[in-house]
Amino acid sequence: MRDHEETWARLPSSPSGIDRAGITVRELGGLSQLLVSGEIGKAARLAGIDGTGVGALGSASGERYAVRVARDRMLIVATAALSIGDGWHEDGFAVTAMSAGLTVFEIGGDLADDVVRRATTLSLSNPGPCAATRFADINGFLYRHEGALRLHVDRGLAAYVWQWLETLLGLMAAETADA
Amino acid sequence: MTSFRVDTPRIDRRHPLPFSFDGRTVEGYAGDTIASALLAANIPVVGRSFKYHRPRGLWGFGVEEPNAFVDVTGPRSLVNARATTEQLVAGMDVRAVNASPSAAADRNAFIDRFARFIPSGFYYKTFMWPDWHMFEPRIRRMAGLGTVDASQSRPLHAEQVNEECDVLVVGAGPAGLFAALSAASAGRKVILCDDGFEPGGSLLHRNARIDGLVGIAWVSKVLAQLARAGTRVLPRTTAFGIYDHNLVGLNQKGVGNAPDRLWRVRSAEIVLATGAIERPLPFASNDLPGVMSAEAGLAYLRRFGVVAGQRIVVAGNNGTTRETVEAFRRVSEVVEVDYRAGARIVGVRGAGRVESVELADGSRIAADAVLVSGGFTPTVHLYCQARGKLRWDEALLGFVARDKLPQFSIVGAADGCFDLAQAFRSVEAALKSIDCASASIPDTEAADVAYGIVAAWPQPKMKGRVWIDLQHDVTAKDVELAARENFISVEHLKRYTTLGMATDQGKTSNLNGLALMGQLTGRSVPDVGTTTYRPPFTPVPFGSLAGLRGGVLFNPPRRLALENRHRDAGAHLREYGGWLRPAWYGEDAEADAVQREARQARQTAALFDGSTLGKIEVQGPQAAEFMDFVYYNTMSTLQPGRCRYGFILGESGVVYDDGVLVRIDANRFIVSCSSSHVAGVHAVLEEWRQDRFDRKRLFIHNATAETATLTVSGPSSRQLLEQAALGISFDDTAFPHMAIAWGSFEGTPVRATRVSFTGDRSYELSIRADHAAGLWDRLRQLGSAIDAVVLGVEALMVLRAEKGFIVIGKDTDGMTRPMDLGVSAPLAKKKVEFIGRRSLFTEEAQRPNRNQLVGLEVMDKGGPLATGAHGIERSGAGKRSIGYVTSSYFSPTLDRPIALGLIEGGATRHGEVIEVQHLGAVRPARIAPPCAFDPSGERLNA
Repeated sequence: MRDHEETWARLPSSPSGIDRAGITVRELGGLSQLLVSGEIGKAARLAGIDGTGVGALGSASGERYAVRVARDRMLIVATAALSIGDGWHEDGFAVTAMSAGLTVFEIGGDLADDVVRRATTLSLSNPGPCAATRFADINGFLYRHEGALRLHVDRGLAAYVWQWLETLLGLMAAETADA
Repeated sequence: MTSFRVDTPRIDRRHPLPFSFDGRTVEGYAGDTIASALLAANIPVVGRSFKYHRPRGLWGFGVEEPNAFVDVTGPRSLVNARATTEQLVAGMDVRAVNASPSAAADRNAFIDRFARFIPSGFYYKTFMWPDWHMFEPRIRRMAGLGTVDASQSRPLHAEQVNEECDVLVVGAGPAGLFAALSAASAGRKVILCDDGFEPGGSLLHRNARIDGLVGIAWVSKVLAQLARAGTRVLPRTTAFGIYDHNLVGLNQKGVGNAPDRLWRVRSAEIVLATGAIERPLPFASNDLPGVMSAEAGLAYLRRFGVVAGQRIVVAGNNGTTRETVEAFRRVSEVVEVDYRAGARIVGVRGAGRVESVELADGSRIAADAVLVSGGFTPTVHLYCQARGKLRWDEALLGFVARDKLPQFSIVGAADGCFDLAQAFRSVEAALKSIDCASASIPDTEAADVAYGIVAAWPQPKMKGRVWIDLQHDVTAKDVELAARENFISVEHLKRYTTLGMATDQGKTSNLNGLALMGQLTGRSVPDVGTTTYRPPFTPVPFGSLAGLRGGVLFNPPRRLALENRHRDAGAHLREYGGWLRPAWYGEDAEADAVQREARQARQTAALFDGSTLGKIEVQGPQAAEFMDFVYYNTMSTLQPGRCRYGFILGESGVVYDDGVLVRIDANRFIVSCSSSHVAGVHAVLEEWRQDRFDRKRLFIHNATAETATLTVSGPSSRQLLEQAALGISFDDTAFPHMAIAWGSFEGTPVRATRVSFTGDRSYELSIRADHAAGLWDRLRQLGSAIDAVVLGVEALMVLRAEKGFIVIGKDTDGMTRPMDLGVSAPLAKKKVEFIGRRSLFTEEAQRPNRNQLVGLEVMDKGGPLATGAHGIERSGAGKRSIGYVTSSYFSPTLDRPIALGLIEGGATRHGEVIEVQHLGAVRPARIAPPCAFDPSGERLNA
């Protein structure tokens, strides 16, 4: 069996962030995240948020909002713990906690859209109502929050996304230097 | 001295760029391509032909080049690069491909002397016996292109950019520039790409006055206007393919040592202004170095200040050579051979390069360069890739686009408009068709010469060797041979002769080949037809196609939340089913460590990170009904707070996955599937949910990443956990096997599930992944007091094999039904439909001698059987496989080898001795029940 101990470096214990090529990347910890399916409007009302949810590259704001990730599914994101319990709700929706399951990255800076062009096939002018997309060849949710991009990815692949972004921004920085 | 350099403002000769070609030091200048530098250095032979190793010189100046292919190392490493499209960088080590030791003195040049014996089809006919593969390696070494240097590191990461626009203009010649300017002026978002190093196209080497400006100045003015309009202009960028929904692939060459960049452009409209490619003229030895495209000769002169020769013959069958003749008269002796006036070249002569030209009237002209034009073929590749159909234009003697495609326009020379005014008018018409008002048509003062082409196709039975495809060494005689052997379809012609199959894809050769085949078979060129145009238009580097997907960024494994804890504990990490997991721990050799861990786990307690196990939530009022349908086993009877082991089958009845189903409450289950099957099982569940169930009453969430699962197993596991202060009673009555209990660790909820993959008493603790480290540390601390061991995946494999517990995909294969694993009751008793049910009643599924799961006891002192070794049965016909070993280990607890296997009719053959063969060695083994350790299961509660 191939020895992969050296292939993948130790996980960064507390990533310090990237600031290159006019783009900043940092990991956002401490967000509450609930995956809700079914009657998402009713779940949104229970959470006190708009049930439409932001789509790909859509703009969210505030401390509590919804991200639309499928026709009948949304991710509720909040800075504080949410009171909606896990499991099936008689109002017709299912809830699963994903606060630890999805790692959240914030990508900011004037050139942040250049990352979108390289990491996704999204149309910047008409990205669509669903925030679920492929980012760097893995599944993720991508939208904007108060100007910066927010990306939610599977926790197990967060180290890969971090490394991917470091590599990309290195290329973009070199290109800027050459120019 | 024949070819030479003259001053031109476009080349800065104050800054020489030294490089080497085939080991010889050569000097070029900033602005040169490799090709222009070689031509300026009077190096006539720049490559060897693919098959006959004929000496070849430069033919073209761009992507059409069929001869000058080089491998480059140094500041920029390239394989099979066209010398005409690579900018010169100081220090480059350039080597001609398919030549050894050099293009000038190739040791395989002798092959050409035997050319008459190895025409097209020679290989197909000759190397049939005993086996083509005997000859293939040597032939491939002798005939080929560049060589990949295996010692080089992988290509640099390349960027891939997705972009969208209203109008993509391909080609930045006069028509493309005017189209881009017009579209941009109309407010459209425009991208303009061109495969040249700078925009301008033919205006970079042809005289023209546009709107009162010389061509180059007009180009600068338009570029400035485009910049102001925000148009993205991509030089060095080839549009190599068009795909569904107007997706166009562009490859942009990197500057210096920078990698190429791939663009995926989605455009509402595509305007093709790709120009046209000049064809050769057919005459004997028309491949001699020194015979060059007239357009290329003019381009080298005016773009790079390189004169192709001192005594130049310019021959053409159209009006475009007029300017070439006049341009070269200022720097060389020039003789014009005008096919339109009836003159013809019948051959050229020379040793290693052109020395004289022989005309049809028998006269001979001394010459060191022959610039030829056999007419122009519009570059319609992208149009054809977009399913466009071609029309033969008798006036142009070429194929042009027949129909207007939706969202697709062709302008300029690509549409057969070979003079400027005509090209600009074609742009106006094209933009009008897409509701985009064009800018006013520029005034042109070019001395447009009528194209006025006359036919000069290759003829049957021409004297000498008349080359049709320079890169793949196809001659007129090869085409004639194909016709004689009835390979007259254009597709057969291509495959039989390899005409147009090389990396240049016949850009210069196809039409001459088609015309000759037409004459040989009494058909017109359009009746012969064309082959299919497919992407890429020019080769695209693998690095560009791969983008960032290389090295550690290619197919990355998932990472455990506790990976660093495992590293600190001395874990050796390996990839299992898409996860990076501890294989074993400590400094011991792997085999010793695995044995130690497995032995100790049976004696005290083992701590194992089982976080990779699937945790797919199924919720809703239909959840129980759904679980019954998904699982082979009945699951709706499962009580909340309990769990049950079961199989998920495919529709063919084959076991797809196994695992434990946990019922949290009446409407909520957790499917704990195999680690490597999470995505697959999730997809299966979602598919059946959407196809068969009420999508408002059933929902599926993959929550695998949310929780880490820490397993405590072994006889001392309960003792350890009772000290962990989780708020859970571990009393067997309150918390029996296959039950769940809820507790908490430092305020974080913990779900404990009592299941076992080792056969010993075991508990799985699931906790939020980001809070798992503290619990793991606590368990490690408590475990140290009782000599608990941290367990890697390899030791777990030993423990589960001792118990006969299977791993799907290892102890099962693509034929294994649940009955083959000894689980038949659900098929007999289950009343409701489930996935794969009907397939289990087929004759094949019910066949008694199917491969069935068994244990295998080793009967000699040879150690564990080899995994994959076959059980064999001897008969008069020889040996026959009756199954194979699926898992095999040495059990430290039993102090003997153990094995599992799938053996024909194995379930009814316990006690029977069979032979097991591996790599020729045959060993006896006794068929036994799969479970070799604690068959009564007492240790689950011990």
